[in-house]
Amino acid sequence: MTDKSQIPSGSDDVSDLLGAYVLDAVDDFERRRVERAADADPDVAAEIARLLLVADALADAVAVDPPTGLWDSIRLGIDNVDRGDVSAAQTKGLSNAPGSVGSRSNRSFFLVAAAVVAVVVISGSALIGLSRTTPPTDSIATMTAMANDAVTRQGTRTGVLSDPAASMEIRVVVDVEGHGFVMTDPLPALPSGETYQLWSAANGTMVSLGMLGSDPEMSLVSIDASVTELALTREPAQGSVAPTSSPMATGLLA
Amino acid sequence: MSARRSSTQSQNFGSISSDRDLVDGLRTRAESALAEIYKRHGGAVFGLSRRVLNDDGLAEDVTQEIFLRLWNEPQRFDAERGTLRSYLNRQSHSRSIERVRSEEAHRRREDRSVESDKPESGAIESEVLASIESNRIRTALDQLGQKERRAIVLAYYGGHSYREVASRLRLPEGTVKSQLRTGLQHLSVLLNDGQPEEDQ
Repeated sequence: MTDKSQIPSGSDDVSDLLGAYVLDAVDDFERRRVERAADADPDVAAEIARLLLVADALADAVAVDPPTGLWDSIRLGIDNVDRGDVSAAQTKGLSNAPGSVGSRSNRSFFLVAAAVVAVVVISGSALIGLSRTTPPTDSIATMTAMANDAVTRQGTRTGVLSDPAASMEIRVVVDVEGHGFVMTDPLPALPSGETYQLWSAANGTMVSLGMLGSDPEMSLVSIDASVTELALTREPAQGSVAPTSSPMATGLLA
Repeated sequence: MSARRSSTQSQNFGSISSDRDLVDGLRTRAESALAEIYKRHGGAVFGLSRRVLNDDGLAEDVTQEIFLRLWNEPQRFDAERGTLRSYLNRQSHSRSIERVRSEEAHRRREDRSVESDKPESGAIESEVLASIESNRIRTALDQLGQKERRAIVLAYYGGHSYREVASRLRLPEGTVKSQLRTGLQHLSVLLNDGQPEEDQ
């Protein structure tokens, strides 16, 4: 199974996440956590494979005939990608794409442009012999680096959650895309039947931002731009719809 | 390195070629291979994206993006890990969800009333079930417990994370995680002509 030091959020069994994983209903870190578990445990991999067949059946159940003209748009895209000519893709997209309208053509242009960039990047990497490796983004060190990097960028918000006695200090960094890094290192470990849970607080309403587990060090949660007040509570291990205890720490994002 | 199509592009791939042969054809820049893949799987890719995004234009963009990516990076498909259909379905679903979340984040930045715009959970479920033409799948979903079915529909066809599903249904996150897993396990049994392992 996974190395606990590499699991940044939550202490719940990874098997609980398998259904959500198969349905794309987990966050990036949970996804990596499941994939690491699948690499290490054949039983986990076997269950994922079994559940993915169900997801395939669900996907096929909503298949429809694609719109007339969509294939022509794809052909146009590959023609221009192979020519490496983004401006031509834009011009042709505006004039020739079947059923095209202005906004759709603009979207097509960006898709083609992105595809051209992808080809150029891959080609460049091959030419200069770069190895393309995926960094271990689920490591605490990497997440800390990502948080530190986010702090230097415009639009990133930061905050500190603390208790009335100021005995704890939980730092939160939220980048412009809503990735919230919650540095919970000083928190004491909870009994196994409990979890820390993070909340947004607005006008007296608390909305869950996620369970952090019983012994978190660093967690990633999604925090959108409307959230300005945060609160942390202790909850049963399954998590709660609404807080069942008073916030042990609160703070503002700015 | 040039990405131009080679002379092998004139090689003709048709309905008798296997998916694996077609992907090999992409590696030689054979457009007829991509055309055949689109013919076989374009409807599934577009249909799933349209279901999740609820927007034909965005679904066309996603479909185009997926086939362009397959054209540019056919090596990303690993036949040892599953079928091409499955690979494309997953691409369609994950790309569509990225769009959903990106659009919602944008709308939140522009207008913080996005929550009030969300369709009611029961409405999504009814709409999805009505749109499923496969009797096999509809029958299997009908046989699931309502809680499991609703959680799966919201997560998969609605493009919601399990946390969002929990919030919408006002259930603990752990409960929703459990419903998604056991619901899929039950569907697996039902789709293999069996019965659920336990009553709902």
